[in-house]
Amino acid sequence: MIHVKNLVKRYGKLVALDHFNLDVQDGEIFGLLGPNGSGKTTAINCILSLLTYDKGEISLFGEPMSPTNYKSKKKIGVVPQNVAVFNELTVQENIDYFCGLYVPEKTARKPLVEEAIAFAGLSDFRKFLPKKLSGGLLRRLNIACGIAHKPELIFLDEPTVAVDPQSRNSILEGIRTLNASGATIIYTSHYMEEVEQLCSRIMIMDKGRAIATGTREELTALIHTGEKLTVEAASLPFSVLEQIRNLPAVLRADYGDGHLKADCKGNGHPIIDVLDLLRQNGVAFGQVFSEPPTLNDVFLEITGKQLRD
Amino acid sequence: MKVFKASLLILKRRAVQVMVYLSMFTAMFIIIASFYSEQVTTDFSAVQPAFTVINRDENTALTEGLMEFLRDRGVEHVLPDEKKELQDAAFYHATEYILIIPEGFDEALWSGNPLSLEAVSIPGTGKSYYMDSLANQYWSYVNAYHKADTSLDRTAVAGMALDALSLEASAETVRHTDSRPISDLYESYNRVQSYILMVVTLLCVSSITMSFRRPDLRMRNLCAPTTARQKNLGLFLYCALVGFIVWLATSLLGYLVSLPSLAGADGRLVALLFVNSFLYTLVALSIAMLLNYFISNPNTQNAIANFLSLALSFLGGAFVPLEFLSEGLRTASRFTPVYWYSQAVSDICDLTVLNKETLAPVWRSFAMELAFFAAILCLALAVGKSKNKAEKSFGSIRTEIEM
Repeated sequence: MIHVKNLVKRYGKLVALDHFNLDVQDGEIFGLLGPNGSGKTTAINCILSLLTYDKGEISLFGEPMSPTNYKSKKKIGVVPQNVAVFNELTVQENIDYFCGLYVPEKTARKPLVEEAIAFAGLSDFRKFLPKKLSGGLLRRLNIACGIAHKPELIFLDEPTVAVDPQSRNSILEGIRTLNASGATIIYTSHYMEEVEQLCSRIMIMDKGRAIATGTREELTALIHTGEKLTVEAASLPFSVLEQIRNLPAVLRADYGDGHLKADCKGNGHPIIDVLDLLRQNGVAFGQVFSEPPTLNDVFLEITGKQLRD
Repeated sequence: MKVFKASLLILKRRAVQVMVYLSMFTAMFIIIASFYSEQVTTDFSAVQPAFTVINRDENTALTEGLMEFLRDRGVEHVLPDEKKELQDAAFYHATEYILIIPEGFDEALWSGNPLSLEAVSIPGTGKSYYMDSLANQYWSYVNAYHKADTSLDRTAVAGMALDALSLEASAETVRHTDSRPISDLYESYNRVQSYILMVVTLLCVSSITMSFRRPDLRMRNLCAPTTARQKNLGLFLYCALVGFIVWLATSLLGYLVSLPSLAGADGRLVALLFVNSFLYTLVALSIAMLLNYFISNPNTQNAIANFLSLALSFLGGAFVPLEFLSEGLRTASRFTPVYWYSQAVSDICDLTVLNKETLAPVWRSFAMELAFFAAILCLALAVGKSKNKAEKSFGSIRTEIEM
């Protein structure tokens, strides 16, 4: 559905996209994950022909994308990072306006607008002006304006920024519903938890480059870090900590604030060994947690910095 | 048509701002109109002001002659020669003019060394000036006849002066049209209309473009499969409709309020004034289209709309007649469209005959207004083409990169 090859975009001396490649298949929820300034929004704007680019090829629905490719534009829905609605129009008027740019016929548009209002949970607020809406409702309105015309391909650019947890869950649930109804979704975020939960495939970006692409499992398999073990213990003799560090499947281990924390190797599962060691040395322990590696670990290992840096 | 309809909806939500301006302007004009309620006619009719002559000299043939002359043209109000009485009479307008003939005046005049007369005029009335000028005329004739022939006695000199002053020239008012000229009230309204046309047009147009030019909304609009031509057509239609409504509303307002004073006026002149204000509306629209690229928030919107409208109207002679401005300002005003608008108003209101020659200055002013419209519109389109390039209009994209 989307094919981007060797895309280069420069802002003066700054290279915003550096030979960026992307392939998205029908029906996917594709996540673009990266810190602020990594080039996610620039990539989307280039794909949408909102920005010119210095080099590369972009095709959507099998056709080269251009500012005048109205046939492809008709099948695309865009939810921008900033809430882009008219402050002077009500919720219903805003949705009707943006839907009307895609569906000029009033009779065909009316049910679509109603459906979008219901989908976004804005039925009680249809006559409200945007300034009367909370941050979460505004975000939902922003989404409703982008999806009312039932697009085949939806770009969602950080749709959950500055949104409360309840609204965030509602938005994520809505995105799953859109995908289930057949829409392909490109989702950008710097919240790795969201991308992990939602996306079938993920691309991690940094400094305008795609540094890794794949499913969550494929990405975590790329790195040496495995699961993270946390054991609650009131005290831990240094000698026992040394023995744990010497276990073959343990990369590093530390003790502090009543917790033993051990990072394990990629394919290692040393939880039984660690607990046996503690028991043999008479160390009393409480709760035990084991977390699989996250996308932040992938990013950290590849780039040497945190995703949220 | 979506852009057009959305524009009308946005204007509806911002109508209060526009209505405030229109209401203030209407109220102001109605107040001004009330000052014009006194019918002013161009026909002449003599008035007879009240006057008082205090003669501290002897009654002679010369002073009797003056009294006879003044009584023919005014109404004598006899007052005692007391300062307080005279002050009260002048203060309460019981008399419009007080002439005091000093002691020894007659003798001094006759001997060729005339004394000054003391006259009390009431400030702000033409009647005082009129009576003073009559008295001066009489004494000038007396002086002239006495100097011309010193053998004449006082009675003869007074008689000759009165004879000379009684001469009248016949005058006939010739009017080429049966209708009355355009009233001062309606002419004043037409001048000031340039201000309200400019400010309301600027507000109406910039209110919409301010929203549509927001980078995030521009981006969203550009993502849609609507051509730039369709979107621009919607905005042009909106501007045309708003311009037409503003012109019609303000023009009809002026016409209706001035209607009593326009009875008998030539309808063709009123029509020309309507055309003039319509052409100026086009100029206002083109200025609004140019300035919308520089208006980004309601504060700059109000500041620019008010400053520009007031400055242009002042420079163009809408509020203050150009004659009162300095030479430099008058020269500068020729480069403003309001000057040509005001010039057309003056030319139209001065018309008594409508033919090719008399209408030529009006057509020239109209042509100048159209030229301003075309030039500013071209400039607006050029600025728009340069500013509308997508890349330049998305500040937010760069912001993320630069973080």
